[in-house]
Amino acid sequence: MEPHTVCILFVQASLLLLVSGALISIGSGKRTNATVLSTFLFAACFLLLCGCIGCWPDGFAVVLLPVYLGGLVPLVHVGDALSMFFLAILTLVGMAVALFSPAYLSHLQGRFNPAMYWFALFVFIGSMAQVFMAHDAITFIVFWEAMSLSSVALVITDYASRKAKNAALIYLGATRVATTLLLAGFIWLHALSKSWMFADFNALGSEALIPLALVFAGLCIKAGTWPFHLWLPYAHTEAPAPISALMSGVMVKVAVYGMIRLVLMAHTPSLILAYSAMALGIISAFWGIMFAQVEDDLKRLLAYSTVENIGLIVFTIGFALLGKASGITSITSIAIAACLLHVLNHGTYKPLLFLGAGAVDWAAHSRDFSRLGGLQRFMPWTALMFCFGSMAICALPPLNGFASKWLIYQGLFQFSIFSTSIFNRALGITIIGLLAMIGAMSLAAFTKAFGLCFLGRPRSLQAEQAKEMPESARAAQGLLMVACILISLGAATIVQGFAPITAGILPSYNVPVKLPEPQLVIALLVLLPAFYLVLIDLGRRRVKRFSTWECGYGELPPRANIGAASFSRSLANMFGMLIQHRVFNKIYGHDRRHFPDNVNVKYYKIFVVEKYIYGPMLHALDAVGRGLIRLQTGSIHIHLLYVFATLILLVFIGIRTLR
Amino acid sequence: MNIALKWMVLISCVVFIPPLLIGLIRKTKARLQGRIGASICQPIFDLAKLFAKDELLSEISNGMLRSASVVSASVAVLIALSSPWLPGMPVLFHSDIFIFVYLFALLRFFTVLSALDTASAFGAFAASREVTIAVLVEPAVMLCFIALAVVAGTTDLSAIFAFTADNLSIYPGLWAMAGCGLYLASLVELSRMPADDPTTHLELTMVHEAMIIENSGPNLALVEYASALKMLILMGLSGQCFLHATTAVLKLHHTIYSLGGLLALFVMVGFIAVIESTSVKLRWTKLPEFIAYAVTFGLLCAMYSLGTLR
Repeated sequence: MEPHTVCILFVQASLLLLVSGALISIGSGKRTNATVLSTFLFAACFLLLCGCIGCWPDGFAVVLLPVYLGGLVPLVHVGDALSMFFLAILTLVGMAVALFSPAYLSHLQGRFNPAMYWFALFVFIGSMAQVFMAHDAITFIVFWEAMSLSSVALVITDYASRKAKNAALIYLGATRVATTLLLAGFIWLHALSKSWMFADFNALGSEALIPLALVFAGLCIKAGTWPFHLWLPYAHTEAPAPISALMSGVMVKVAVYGMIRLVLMAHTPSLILAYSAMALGIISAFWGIMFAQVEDDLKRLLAYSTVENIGLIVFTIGFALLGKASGITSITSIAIAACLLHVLNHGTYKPLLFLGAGAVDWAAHSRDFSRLGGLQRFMPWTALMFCFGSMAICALPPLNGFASKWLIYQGLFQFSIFSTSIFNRALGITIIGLLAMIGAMSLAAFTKAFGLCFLGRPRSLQAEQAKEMPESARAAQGLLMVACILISLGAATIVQGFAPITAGILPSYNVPVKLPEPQLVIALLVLLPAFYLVLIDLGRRRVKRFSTWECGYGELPPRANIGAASFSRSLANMFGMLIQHRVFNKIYGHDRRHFPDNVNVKYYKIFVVEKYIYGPMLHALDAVGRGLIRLQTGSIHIHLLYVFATLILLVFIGIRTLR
Repeated sequence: MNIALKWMVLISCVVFIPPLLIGLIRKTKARLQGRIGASICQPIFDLAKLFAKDELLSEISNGMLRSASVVSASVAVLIALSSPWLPGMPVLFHSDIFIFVYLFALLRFFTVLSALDTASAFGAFAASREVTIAVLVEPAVMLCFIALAVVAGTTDLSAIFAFTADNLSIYPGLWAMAGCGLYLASLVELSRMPADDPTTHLELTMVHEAMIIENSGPNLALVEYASALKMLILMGLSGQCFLHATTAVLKLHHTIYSLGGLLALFVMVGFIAVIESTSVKLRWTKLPEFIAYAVTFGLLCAMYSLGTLR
């Protein structure tokens, strides 16, 4: 058999495995065996990854069942270069999730329905895979829905928790609005092109601007860009850690995939869409990281940082559109390379961090910084891998995050040199300054995340009794860390390898800048051990252990460790207009100044977008609903009248359009 | 001069000049205060002594403190070997402005983590201040550099500071402003006087000294050396900016610039001592306003570079 045929067999086998996994988990009911199911999932992801690598860059087209979706389009599994790139990320994260899930779920024992979890997980991963393999609007929207609904089911895994219910409700609301916008856009595009195929959508001219804007808005909601980021911190926080990893690492990228497939590949690029994508992206990046660094919940911090990273990705898409519209091919190439590389990077280090957060939650039974601390001693492997992830997400060289950040900077720099209008030149330079600021803020957020969780003194009894997760869970994080390191080493090759993906976007793909990674890595690899020897060997001398300097007061309690609010306070004060927070102090006792009986401190945050935009909107919706409720009388006659009226209206509209 | 000799000169500079700079500051300050002061070479002896000492480590430390000082020192050496702080010297690899800024971020990342490692209240609050300051300092440095890069047409630091680029030497104003911006940002980054007091230990308004309060022995030596190296690099680059500004009026042979760069470095460092003797430390809440001057210089540079249409 030819290698290509084998790879197609791999793809078919993995799809069958996903379907059978879903069937087994729903069929086995209460007797679900996590090991078997996780093996199924791992095997499916691994085979799909092998299939994608084997078929690169020609792609595959597989038909498993003769199904017609909605009687309109056949269900085909088509993978071109772009699809396979995203599938590779999905399968990588999927493998890590499969390894991590059984161990992690043990601490939810009795509080969740395992059959439901595994069924939803298989559906979630399978439908994401199919969305990546969709080349027509119907398949896309059907599996998009399956993906959204199964992820809602996964968010509410811990169904007894009120917070999870609340989060699922908010998330469900967001997905409804997103789907509505997408559907409206797709139907409009269908009306213009008389086809459901994406290729025909792309061929449309400037008349497709408004439907494309609708599709773009729908995708933005799913991606979680500002101001639609509302659902992200809730859903990512309350979902179990492996699900957060999938949602943040892959699901928001589905929206990015949609943007590339529909907006970036569109025949006529529009300047308005380009500038609005850039603006939305930069605002989200700034907004996300600003709120990330004031969070006191580890997973919420990570969720807000997803808003930042997705902002950067959407920004690069806008930037590529701008390059395409202004006809500067080199800039479009750099922007697309930066976009894809950042998608890949964020798809590795963010799941790594979320799994790390899950391990912390599993071991110390809390995600709250005020109850964590000192975990490096008890969980050295998790700490090491979390540290790697934090360095990568802060874009610190030589790790992979830096490579994509560097490409963004280089793209902006080339833009500010080569564009002719002074506005664009100024824009390029200003954004470089802003990105530097965003970078420094992400450093603040992630030194906080790592420092307060893993360093210092344990702040609670549970944190003191924390222990490492089982090997399988550590292997899951290790897999992602190795992926991070490999990407860092091979960034230059990977960027060159994006060429087949860009075939539909650009006539010729050429990244005119050279990534500096290898020299950096080698230099650091030589210098670090050298200095380690200096410290250890020259310093082969006694190390005395003594208490931390506490001004002679004697052993300080764990509460004397810095807290989350104190760590971010000075930075939060600098952006006091946007991060509004209040501290309420109440001190009880008669000599309150010197000998307080009880001190009560409460810390509140006011979320500006939520309070001033969504609050009034929801109130208005509520008021409208209260008015409309009068229509719902509960009497069958009246309801029949409504049906009749609707029928007449539809017939009337039908006659009008036929004419 | 052949390349091997150049490398030997560079490495000996990287090893010996940083402590000398600290010595120079201390000596100048002492003279300005009417004292004789210790010899300029005193910091070298201090470092040697620290390397020979035993280490005192907090019981709470999870190990990050020791590894972080190793990372800080090696990253500082890496920056020193890859950026053109001394004109005419070879570099390990061509560092561009983004790598330069992010390597500093890498250094900062580990310094902050080492401060959080021992659960010391001093260290932790200093760490919080350090990351806050960085949010303003990084854009300032980036804007100054990017303005120069836009004019030079490349982001390669060695090419920008090459003293051969003719298109750059006709903008003395740009160089002077970039020099001012970098110098002000460096004062903050190096925790020098208007931003931070490097001479006392137990004040709650401190940044750098409070972060390294738990380091001792060789550990402390590595961190001190790293921060002196940081001074060498930043002062070297800002000194060169001013040197470039003079080239518009003063054409010299380019071999002289190596010596000129070294001289500019020492002048810049001497000026730190003068500032420290004549100014007072700013309150923490006033510090953002001080850094705003550096950012303003960066923005002015950026505007200047916009005017230089190619």
